[in-house]
Amino acid sequence: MSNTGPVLGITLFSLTNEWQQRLYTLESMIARVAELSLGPAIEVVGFQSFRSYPDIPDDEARQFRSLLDRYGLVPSCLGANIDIGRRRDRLMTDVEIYDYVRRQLVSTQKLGFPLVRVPLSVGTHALEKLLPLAEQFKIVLAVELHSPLNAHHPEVVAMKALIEKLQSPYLGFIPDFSTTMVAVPEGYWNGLRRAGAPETLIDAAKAIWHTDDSIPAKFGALAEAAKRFNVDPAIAGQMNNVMTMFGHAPVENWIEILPYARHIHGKYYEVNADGVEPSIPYAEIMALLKRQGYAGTISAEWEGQAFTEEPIGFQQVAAWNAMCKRLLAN
Amino acid sequence: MGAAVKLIRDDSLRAGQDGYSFEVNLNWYRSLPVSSVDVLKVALDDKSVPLDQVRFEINGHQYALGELAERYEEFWFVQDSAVLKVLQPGEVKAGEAHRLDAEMSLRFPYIQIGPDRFLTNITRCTDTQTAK
Repeated sequence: MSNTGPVLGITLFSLTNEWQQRLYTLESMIARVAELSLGPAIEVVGFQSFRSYPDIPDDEARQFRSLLDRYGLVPSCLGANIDIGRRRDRLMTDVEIYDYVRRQLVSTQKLGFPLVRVPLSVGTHALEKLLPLAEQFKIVLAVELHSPLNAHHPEVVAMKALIEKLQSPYLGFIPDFSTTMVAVPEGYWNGLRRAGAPETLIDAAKAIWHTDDSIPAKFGALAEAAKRFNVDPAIAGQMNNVMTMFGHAPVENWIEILPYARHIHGKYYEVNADGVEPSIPYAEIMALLKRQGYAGTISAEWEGQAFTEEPIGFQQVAAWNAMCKRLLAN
Repeated sequence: MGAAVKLIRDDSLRAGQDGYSFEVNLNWYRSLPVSSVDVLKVALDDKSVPLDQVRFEINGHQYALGELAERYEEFWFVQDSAVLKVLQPGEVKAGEAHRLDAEMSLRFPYIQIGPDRFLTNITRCTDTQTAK
């Protein structure tokens, strides 16, 4: 890798509130991204931004490419999904998974994205079968590593072994910072407080989150704490999410993944008035990326819409962008 | 996540020849297969509507609620509203204000949380609107 450093950008997922409230069309949203200099790299979730997805017609794809050209933006990643439970009577078979991703790969190529995000649920079998098509299209198949999938998760270890075995430049990972957090976002606790969780239980949950116990053990400890504080089991059940959605693996764990990282999800929940994300150690992460020579794209992936319906996505992405630029300049 | 819009769309109550209708929003960040949708409850002025009198309209198609499960190749786009149509002529007339209740569940078919279980969100909404 060269020493040019990471290329910053945005996933339009960060603008989910604006999008859901129909404040923007795809065209006006991209225009605003360019106007605020939040690019150059643009990531899109296929099933969020395109009405015709997963099968994008040629003329619609052409319009999208010319839209990015017009604003000097570059496509970084198309987010694919595998709706494995779309039928109510049974799960998708391996053949159906292959075909569902194949359709999205065709759309990825038409839209001009160099890389497609696939979830780990694609499985090593379908991924290996999809590789020849990806190579033919010159599109990277990149498996997203979102919490709880940290570098040492057994399924990640198996996927890494496959990627090492196949040695293709068209296979890789998308690290997501949700696995290397230092605290649970305060917005999440506030949501639980509103649902009626007492402070005693929240303190206990914070302590449980910080342990290195397995996820089932943490679920058990939470249920026990809920009983001890006499709390509605439904609230304790909601708290289980906290143990899987947010991981606290050390930042150094990314070192063994970075050689295979083709794109990164710069996950965050809040960049505050001091230009800091209190739950994710961005200074440490950016220093590591620089040290390891990562020169790929990073999307600002604001997930604070989990806690607020305010359309503050653009403001939050601008704050993230300023924070990352400052840290990378150090 | 994704609760940035109200389930019942503002100012969407309409009186028609064969009944009345109102619109619902998709409370999720991405489009979902129509097979992910379950309409659990519709009520008018606190009176529950039998669900076999409710139709779900999306992409210019109209479905009985029992037909939604089969529509796994059709998508409900994030920025579109679906129409819930109630086949009860005369219940709602233009200019009248009525209290609407709706309850809908969305099963996220890409978020598996057990062997045969998927993350499912239930959204409820109550709104009083004047019919057009």
